[in-house]
Amino acid sequence: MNALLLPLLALPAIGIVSLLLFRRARVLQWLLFLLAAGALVATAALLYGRWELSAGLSLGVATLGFRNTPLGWLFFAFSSGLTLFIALFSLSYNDRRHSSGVAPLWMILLAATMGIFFAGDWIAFLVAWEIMGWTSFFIIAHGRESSFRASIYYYTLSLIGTAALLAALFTVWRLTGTLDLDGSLAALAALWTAQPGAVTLVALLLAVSFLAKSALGPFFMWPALAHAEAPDDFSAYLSGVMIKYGLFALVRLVLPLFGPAYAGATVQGTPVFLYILGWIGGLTAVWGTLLAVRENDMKRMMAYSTVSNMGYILVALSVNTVFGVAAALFHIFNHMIFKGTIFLSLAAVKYRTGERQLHRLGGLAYRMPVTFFAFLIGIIAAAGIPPMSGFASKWMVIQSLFSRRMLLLAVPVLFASTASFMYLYRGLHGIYLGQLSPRFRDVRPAPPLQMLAMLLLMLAVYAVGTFPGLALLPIRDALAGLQEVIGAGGVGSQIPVTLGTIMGVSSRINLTTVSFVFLGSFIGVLVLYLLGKRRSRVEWLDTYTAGEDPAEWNMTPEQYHYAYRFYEPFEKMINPLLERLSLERAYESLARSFRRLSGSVARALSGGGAGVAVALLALAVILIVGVAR
Amino acid sequence: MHHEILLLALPIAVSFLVPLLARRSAAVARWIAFLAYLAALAYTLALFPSVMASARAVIVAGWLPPLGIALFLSPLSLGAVALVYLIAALTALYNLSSPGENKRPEGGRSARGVALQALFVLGGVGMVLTADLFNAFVFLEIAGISAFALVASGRPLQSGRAAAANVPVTSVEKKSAAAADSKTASAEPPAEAAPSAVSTSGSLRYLVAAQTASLFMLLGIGLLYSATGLLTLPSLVSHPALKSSFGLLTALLLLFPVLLETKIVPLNFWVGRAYAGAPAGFAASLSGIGATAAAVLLLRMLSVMGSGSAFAGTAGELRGVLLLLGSLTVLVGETAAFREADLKKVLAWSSAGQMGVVLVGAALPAGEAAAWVLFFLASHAVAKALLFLLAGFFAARAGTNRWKAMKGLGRLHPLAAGMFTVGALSLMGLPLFAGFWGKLGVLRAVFSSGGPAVLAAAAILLGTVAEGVYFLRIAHSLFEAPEAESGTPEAEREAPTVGSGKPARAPVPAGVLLPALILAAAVLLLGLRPSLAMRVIAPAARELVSPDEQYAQKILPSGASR
Amino acid sequence: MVQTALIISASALVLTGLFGVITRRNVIRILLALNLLETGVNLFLVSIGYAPGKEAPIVTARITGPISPFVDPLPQALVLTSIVIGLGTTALALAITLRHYRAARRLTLEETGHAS
Repeated sequence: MNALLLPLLALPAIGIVSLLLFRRARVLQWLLFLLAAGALVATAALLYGRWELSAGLSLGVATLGFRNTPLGWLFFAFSSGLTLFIALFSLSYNDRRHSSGVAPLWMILLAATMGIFFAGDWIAFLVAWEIMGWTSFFIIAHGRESSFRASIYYYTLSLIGTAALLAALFTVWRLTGTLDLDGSLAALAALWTAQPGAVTLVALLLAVSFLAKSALGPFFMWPALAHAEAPDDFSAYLSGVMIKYGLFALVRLVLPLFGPAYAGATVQGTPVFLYILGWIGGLTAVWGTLLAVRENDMKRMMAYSTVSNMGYILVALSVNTVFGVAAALFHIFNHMIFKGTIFLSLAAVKYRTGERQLHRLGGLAYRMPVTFFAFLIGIIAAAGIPPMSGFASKWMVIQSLFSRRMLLLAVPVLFASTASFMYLYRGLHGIYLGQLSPRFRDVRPAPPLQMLAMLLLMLAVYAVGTFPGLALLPIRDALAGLQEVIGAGGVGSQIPVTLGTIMGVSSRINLTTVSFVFLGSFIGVLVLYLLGKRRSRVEWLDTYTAGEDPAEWNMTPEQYHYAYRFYEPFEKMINPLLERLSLERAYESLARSFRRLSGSVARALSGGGAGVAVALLALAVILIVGVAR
Repeated sequence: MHHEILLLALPIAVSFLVPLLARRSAAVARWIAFLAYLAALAYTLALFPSVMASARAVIVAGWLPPLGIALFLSPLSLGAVALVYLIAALTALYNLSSPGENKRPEGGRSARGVALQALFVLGGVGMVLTADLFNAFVFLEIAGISAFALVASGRPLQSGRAAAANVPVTSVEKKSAAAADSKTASAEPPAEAAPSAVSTSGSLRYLVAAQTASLFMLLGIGLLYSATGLLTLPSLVSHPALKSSFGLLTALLLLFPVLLETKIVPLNFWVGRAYAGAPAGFAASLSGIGATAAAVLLLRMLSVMGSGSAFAGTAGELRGVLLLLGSLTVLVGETAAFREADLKKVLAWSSAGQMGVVLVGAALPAGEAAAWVLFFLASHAVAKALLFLLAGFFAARAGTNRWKAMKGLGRLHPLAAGMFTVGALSLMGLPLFAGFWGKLGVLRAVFSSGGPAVLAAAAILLGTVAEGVYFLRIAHSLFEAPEAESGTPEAEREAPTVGSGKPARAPVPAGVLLPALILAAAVLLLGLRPSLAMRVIAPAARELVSPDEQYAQKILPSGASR
Repeated sequence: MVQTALIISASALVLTGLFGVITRRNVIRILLALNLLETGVNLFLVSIGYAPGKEAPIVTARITGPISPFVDPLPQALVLTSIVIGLGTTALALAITLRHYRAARRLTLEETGHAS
């Protein structure tokens, strides 16, 4: 019973116990959750460097193997850190009014997450993957009908992913005879010359499964529903940790297939399969951004932003170099932190105001300053502006494209990255800037524990932005072991990095210096602001209207809000395109056809004599076919 | 006389004694049945050690096979018998309680109902134990007849409130409910009131279908006897092969009733109405006992037909046909369940889908999946019984069988709804629960046989997706809060009264809670420690895979196969 | 000869019964057809055991030697069981039909408007 196994087993047990015993005492459940998150961070600290550690859970018919790998450890450490901050937040968030009761299930989910990251064989991976699936379904739905619809949408895609995963699993088993993850992948990679079709099939099935989980390609629309409808603190976990599972699995399970043993066609140095994935990522990035621009609901907007960021990560992975993987991992880490910050600040806003629509908020910066700052730092990072961490990782992603001369793919990435500022700023202005609605005149700032969580996250974002090596150095060490598995040699095979500098193909940037420059300018501007002339407050509708009275046009203060239909001209431009290419409609009609099919099958089977006739007719046909052979 | 006959004698005794002893009070009948099943279960478990050491045949009435009837006690048959008695005991426990307002004992709970149920159990146990084909036919008939009667005895739930609660009820049921209301004004003996058209028509459809199928089996038996002069399964194992088309025809005819009982396409059109009309306790037995026993018999027959036996020439084609039928059943079952509004029908169609998986696994060559098929069958029996019992409880609380009307019941009875979710998740094949291992094992065997079996795998995977959606829909709607604005503190909301007029916080009766707990615990236990069951299942699978040495030779006197 | 005649009439009964079970709507007619089906199958079973020129399998004073001059008694035993099963089932079916009539006011098994 070593450090790997103990949390894996203890967490679900504690979760189930707290579900059964502490149903009334919700605070106790969340306290346990916080302790569990803390224990996980401690475990991460314990496990660092002990790469030889492994554990097996024997169930008689199968043994679930777990192994402490650097890659898995990275993901585990990042996600445990984020979970700890979220747990702090949740403890305060889940009071009597807002409690969602999902703490026990969340604990089981934490154990499943750990299982996914440390899985040593396919069965362990599958078990953890499935447990993650059904626990997250119940958490997202948390007993509300509207949330249920979102959750079942997410879970249906997840089930399709599972079907693909199972098919891949059994194919791998049949081809290589072993269930050990690393062993089977190595054996499979060696089959490129002998059975390219089979290996491609496995890669395709795995890709389908993991793209679905990470909302890439044709699966881009579930976060908008799920992240938005989930309990607000869980949205941070969803966007921060859970959506990364697919990408982790891609790095762990799919990229090793395209290592040195790859013997197929390449495009600009990267395998065709990965090149196509890269384009899927690029298009997803653009699509996510466009959809985010249209949104008026702050959680949905941020969900689409997450989708877009997943696109960047996939692009970075597609270059198939160590540098690319490092860029991807770095962006994953940064995204976890800044998206977590953003979602927690949104949760705090919702906690105090109950609102999610941008045009009903506004001016909250004056009432909730810490929340405002958290959101501000978050979106600066999300937009990729120094000195926050997002800049470094986006820069590295583009550099990794340059290293392969994949300039065409850089276009959508740059477009999406730049356009993201449109919706990010709108979010900021819509919620925090502008004028305070009379309804929220007495809104109090976020509770202290929530503020603490947000402060810590802000510090993390800024710290990594100033000292990128904080994240990149562990990443580099982790990837050192993977060098022979991923693309070898060339300019992308090392990750030159120091604590304060990032280096790429075309240049190097000392982010510490940049950060201090920004800090200096910020302090300068702050001084000017404080010394400058006073400003005056005005009412909402106290603005220039050329002598007309807005009430005559049936205008409400909300409609006149700065953020209402903020980008109407832009929307008018892209709406026709979005309408025509709506995948949601395709899925809807698929679901409808299936429902109709189900109805007719049920009706056909309930017919009386007709049923017997059909039965015997079918039997006769089978007999004739059978006898005739 | 061989004491093992007790396995069959106990249910017969119950069915004959109960009408005599329980004239006044149906409760006496229910207690007798419960205690008898408990005793039978204990007896079965006591037989286990000796049977695990060496399986044996019990010759009945002194006539040696292949002419006489022999009962075969082996890990497979005894394991199935234990499962049957477990579910029978738990269902009897369930019948001891009254989960709803139904003061009048519903069909399955009157003295006559108990007697019929005992006969059903007898049929199930018998068809698993016997080694003679005609004997199996008789036991199938016994089970069938009692099933028809019990299904027909179902009555509509107290639909007065259901009608008020805007649940569309068929005009016929409304009439019968009205008739019931007026009838109860007059002195009608409680057990006779308000027959349900759904139950009777379901029962009649089931009857006609099952009887036709059994007659086909009889035809098959006749054909088999005319060609080989044999009636017992073990003797077929080493018999020279029949002509291929004749063999195929005979095999299919013989399989008809078991395929019907296990709801295989195209013989499952009776499922919807029969299950909808059956009383809740019996629906659990029908699925947990009936389908399971029939499936074991099916596996036994397929194991004999598959080996180098009288059917050697047709084994390949038979496999192909069965693989196709199994895949179709999975697809049809899961698709039909998707749209159903009646919870019992959903569960029944889901059973059909699961049986399709069993058939696919059984149809694989060389019995690769034998052990996992058995595991899958056992986990299905336990989970399905759990779901049906809880469905009955929720239906009684909500006043209707429609699952949409049960919204929010989980908040009043979180333990019951939680156990329902456990059962549902197990059937979906999710880990931490029993169903995961069974499905994984069957899928693995299907994938490794390659060829056309891959299509069956695709069907099973598609079925899993559909299954997940509709089960989670139902499980979640149990937990849903009745519509309120977001942010309303749920603890301060009044516990809603849904359907029934009872104060909605009435606790779950022990008779429902106890069986459900035991079954749910079994599901979890098998999910976390599947090796516990494998100790019995592994030798059982060996019986199926090598029927010659593990089966035939233990029954027939050495060298005797005419 | 006799056997052929038996088999033909058995087949005729089976096919007629099957036809009736499949196509009739009225429950009573379905049950009648079911009975025809049963009778046909029973007849078929009897015909299996038939051997021309042999005696009925009843030991009387006339028969003294070994068993060989009998027709096969086993199918006849099967048929006896089957007849009894058929009787019981028919009785039960009619009782259920009576109950059905009380509930549904008619003798057919149509869908009464899918309640779901």
